[in-house]
Amino acid sequence: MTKRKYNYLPFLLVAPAILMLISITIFPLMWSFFTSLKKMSLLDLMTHGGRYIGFKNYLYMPHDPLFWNAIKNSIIFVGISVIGQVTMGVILASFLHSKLMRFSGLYRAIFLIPWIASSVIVAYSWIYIFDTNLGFLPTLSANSRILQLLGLARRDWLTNSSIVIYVLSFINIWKGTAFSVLMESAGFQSIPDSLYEAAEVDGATAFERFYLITLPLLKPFILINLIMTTMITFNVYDLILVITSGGPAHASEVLSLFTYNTGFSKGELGYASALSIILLLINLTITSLYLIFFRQKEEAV
Amino acid sequence: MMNRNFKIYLGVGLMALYCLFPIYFLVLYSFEPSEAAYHSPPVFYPIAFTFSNYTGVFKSIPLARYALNSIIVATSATFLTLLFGSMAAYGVSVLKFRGRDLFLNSLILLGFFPAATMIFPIYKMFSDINLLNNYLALILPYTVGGLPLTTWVMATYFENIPKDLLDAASVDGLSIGGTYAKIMIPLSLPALSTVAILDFIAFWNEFIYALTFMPDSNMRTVTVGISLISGRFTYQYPWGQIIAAALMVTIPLVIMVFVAQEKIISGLTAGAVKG
Repeated sequence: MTKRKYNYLPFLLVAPAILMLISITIFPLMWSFFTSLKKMSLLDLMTHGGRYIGFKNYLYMPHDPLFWNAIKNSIIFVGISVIGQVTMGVILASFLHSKLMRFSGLYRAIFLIPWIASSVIVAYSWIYIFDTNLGFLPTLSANSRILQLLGLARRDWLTNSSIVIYVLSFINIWKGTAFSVLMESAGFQSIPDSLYEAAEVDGATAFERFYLITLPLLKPFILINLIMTTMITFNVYDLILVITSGGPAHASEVLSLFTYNTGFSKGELGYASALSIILLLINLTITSLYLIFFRQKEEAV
Repeated sequence: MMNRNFKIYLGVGLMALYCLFPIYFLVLYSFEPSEAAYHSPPVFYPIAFTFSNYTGVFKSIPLARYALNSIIVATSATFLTLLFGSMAAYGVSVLKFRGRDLFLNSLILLGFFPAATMIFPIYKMFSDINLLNNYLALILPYTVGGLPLTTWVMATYFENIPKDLLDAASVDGLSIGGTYAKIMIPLSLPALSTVAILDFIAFWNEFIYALTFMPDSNMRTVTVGISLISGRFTYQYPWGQIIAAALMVTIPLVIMVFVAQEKIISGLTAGAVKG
């Protein structure tokens, strides 16, 4: 009796999770795939309309300048964000890990604030700094010699199509740094203090200690951090949606926001679904890299 | 030695300034009349202290109602995520069954399904079964979104619980369900509370689903409600009220994290790094 219980119970325990995942992930995904083979508008959604056009939505993609524009923006946004966040994460975590540092708990909590705050609040914070009419930087730019000398005296941070994506990347670095600090803090904690003490006895400088001990031992944490931040940043679009909605003239439209706008603003549901499938495939590729990396690490251990 | 100490404090001080600088403006302008934001040169310190934004926003939008919506959605979704996630983690880690590796790996893959991919089909499904504007329209997708991380962290935690304890429990005649309820759950309270806080924050802050699946203005969550406050023209936006509301709904989260930051850090890194 107890033996038979043992056999089906694990499945019973896992069942609710699996059922939810199938009904709210797998099942909708199948609908997305079938819709991506249709020409279908948002209005057709209610009438179950739309007609099959095969893979035409996918074939159109390479000829769509807005698609390539979104890819380009995504690469800039993800590239700058990831490099910025991981660098800031390593620097901040090294400060926090320092033995001389007191109250590091309080500081860590301060660093977490940008990460706890919702994208909407982060968006408003930075609108207050960059917005043409409202922003602190634009209003200050007329009177401040320092800003003028630094070349920061401009009013069009969010409305100039050639810089807006860099401004948004900077804002995203600000929001995401905390996550990197957490990951790298774990990394620093894994390095035994005895190594540093030995190096100090040998007369190594602070730079040598960082370059020869910290960096090599931190490498696996930096790598995981790079991959995870890439995965997360690639799917960020709520922040951009609130600040610029992808504008001016698509200049800050990343791939996930382009997908969203194609579906809900332009109402081209068929094409948007095709885009969303491509978006998913890119995500699955990055996630697989992450899993492969993990497996190698486990085998190495 | 003194010199090095000073450098580190300077470094950390600058970093703290970098983290708090934008928030400082929010707090400052939330206590100023709306026109203060348009002062030129800008205001760095309080000039006309007022609470009117904090009281006024309750008249402009049903903020209390939005907060109630957010509380209902985030609490229910957190509860369901913890329940289903810990059950699945228990199934996976203690009772080894065939296909567990497949299950855990697919969980990670599902965990990174982009919201932009899921939003159209879920919208379509909920509109077909009349679930839009229902609390479930957010509770269900949030739960699914929270399950991967929750299950992953809990499974790691459960695997570290000594086997002897479970053997003793079964000798004492405790059923599998009894072991789960009377031993596993109480023992894993630290891990559970960490994931609970992380899930709650994520659900409370979520924006895109809440904006899309709750078109009725009475069903908005706080984040969406605040983002949709507007005047007739941009320059008439009640900026002071918007940020006062934004601060009010963030403060509970900040307090939560200040109290539990040590736990959150260990919980997160256990899930992400040890895998």
